[in-house]
Amino acid sequence: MTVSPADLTIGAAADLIAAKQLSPIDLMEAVLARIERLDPVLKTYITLTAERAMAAAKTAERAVATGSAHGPLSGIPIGLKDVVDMAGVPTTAGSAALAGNVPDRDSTIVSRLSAAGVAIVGKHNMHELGLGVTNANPHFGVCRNPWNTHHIPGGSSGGSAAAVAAGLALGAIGGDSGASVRMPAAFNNLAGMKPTQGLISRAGVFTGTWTMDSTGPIARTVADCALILQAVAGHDPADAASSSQPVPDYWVPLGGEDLAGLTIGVPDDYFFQDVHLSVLAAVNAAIGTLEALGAQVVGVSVPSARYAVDAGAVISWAEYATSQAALLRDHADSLGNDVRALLEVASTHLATDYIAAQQARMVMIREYRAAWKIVDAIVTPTSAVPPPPIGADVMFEVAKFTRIASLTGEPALSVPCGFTSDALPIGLHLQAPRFAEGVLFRVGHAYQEATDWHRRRPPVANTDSSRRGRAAAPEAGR
Amino acid sequence: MAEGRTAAADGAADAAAQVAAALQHAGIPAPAGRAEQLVAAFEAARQRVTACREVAAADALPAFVVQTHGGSTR
Repeated sequence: MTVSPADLTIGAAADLIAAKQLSPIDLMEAVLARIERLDPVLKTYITLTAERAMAAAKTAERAVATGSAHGPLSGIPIGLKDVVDMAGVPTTAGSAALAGNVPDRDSTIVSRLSAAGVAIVGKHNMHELGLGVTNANPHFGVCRNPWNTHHIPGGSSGGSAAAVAAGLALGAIGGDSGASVRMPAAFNNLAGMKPTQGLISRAGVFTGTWTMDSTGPIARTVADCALILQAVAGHDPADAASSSQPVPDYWVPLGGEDLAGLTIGVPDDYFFQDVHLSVLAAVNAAIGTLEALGAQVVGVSVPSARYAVDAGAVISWAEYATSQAALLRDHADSLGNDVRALLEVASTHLATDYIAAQQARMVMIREYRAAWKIVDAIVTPTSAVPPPPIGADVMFEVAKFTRIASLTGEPALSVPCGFTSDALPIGLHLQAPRFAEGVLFRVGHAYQEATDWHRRRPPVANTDSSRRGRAAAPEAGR
Repeated sequence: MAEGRTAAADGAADAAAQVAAALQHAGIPAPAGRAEQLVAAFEAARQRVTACREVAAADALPAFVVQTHGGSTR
């Protein structure tokens, strides 16, 4: 069986490129052809940087041909949520009000991806300013879920996730201050990680909230996420909040196939009440798989988690109202109605409101710190519901479990764990202590080795009319 | 019924006036009708704050703890 290179994982594509069985130029052409065919419907890109991407692909091809040193991301097509600066390319954060914002230098993320040889395909559509989950963007188009185009891709990194799912990129850098990498990853049958706060530099990244903004990888597999994180993580003197913790080799935890010695916590009823039955069944089955892989599964109590939605909204939106005060003052009429209303209401919060929310946050941080003395990771659904239909009024029910890791600053990973009866993806959420990304990679990778949810591709990806650019790739889902 | 409708209208006007005053205090230009549109969102925000205050009152932890990783504070 042959598959389009656009449907390969990063790891599979890298192996084929290294073995000279796949040309990086052919890979890029396959991805660009997929964009041309599907993006008019999916609306995943705001700006394409095809020329720059093709130049990187050609550089990668020369490196392979001449035997020059090149890494696993060399020539790999990756996209960026449109919050990440790329010199000479607008950073809109999904808002027409920022269409003229053209940075004159690369963000640290782009510098590091470029140094790794990544072919950056373009900037992805998102919910305006990151302030929502539907990606029904009034300025750049309604982004659609490739698994069912009548449903939302999630958000706010919905363009990034939909693009990767449909083969319009092999990976992406998303942004997450509450759910925005993990929930779209779950809604598109992908892996997505929000790393520890401070692990990835925010220099040259649009600021929404100072205390919760993070960027993170979205890809088809946990192993691909590890490859991307390896390239961008680490201290950056240009970001005052950047961690100086040494970055471990994330590939090492992927070596083992079982989970012996790990204790995984299953928290209180809050995470399993008012949850869609298909989600509940899939997550419970996944917990059984983790146990079968050798993990010890135990109950854990984090009762304050139920306040994460309230505290997260007050803190996040008050910080947004401050960071975007000038935008609201000078360009209110250019903002979408939902985002404008949210910023207006958040602007009326008192300082004491914000501080009360921070106190509630500290209760959560304390409970999770206590939990980490007992367990190595905590498992929950990523979202209480599968991807809702476009037009549904959703915000909190899709993000109420993911917000917690943003409040505690801890890393979290979403992994595909099943489908509803009408073929909508479901995600499993894993959270771990600060800087324990390796634990999440180990658990997520072992789970993917034992299951095949991540090998499925959305129906829209299966209709390439031309065989041009196809590769003899025996296993698309590796 | 007429009295009930009047009370409801008065309540809505009061709520809109409160929102308008809060917007004005925040320095946000609020064209006519804008405050009325925001009443429901404003009330939802108040409920979220109330929930946070209840948690905070039950367990009065400091709002901010310096979290150090490599010398940075956040």
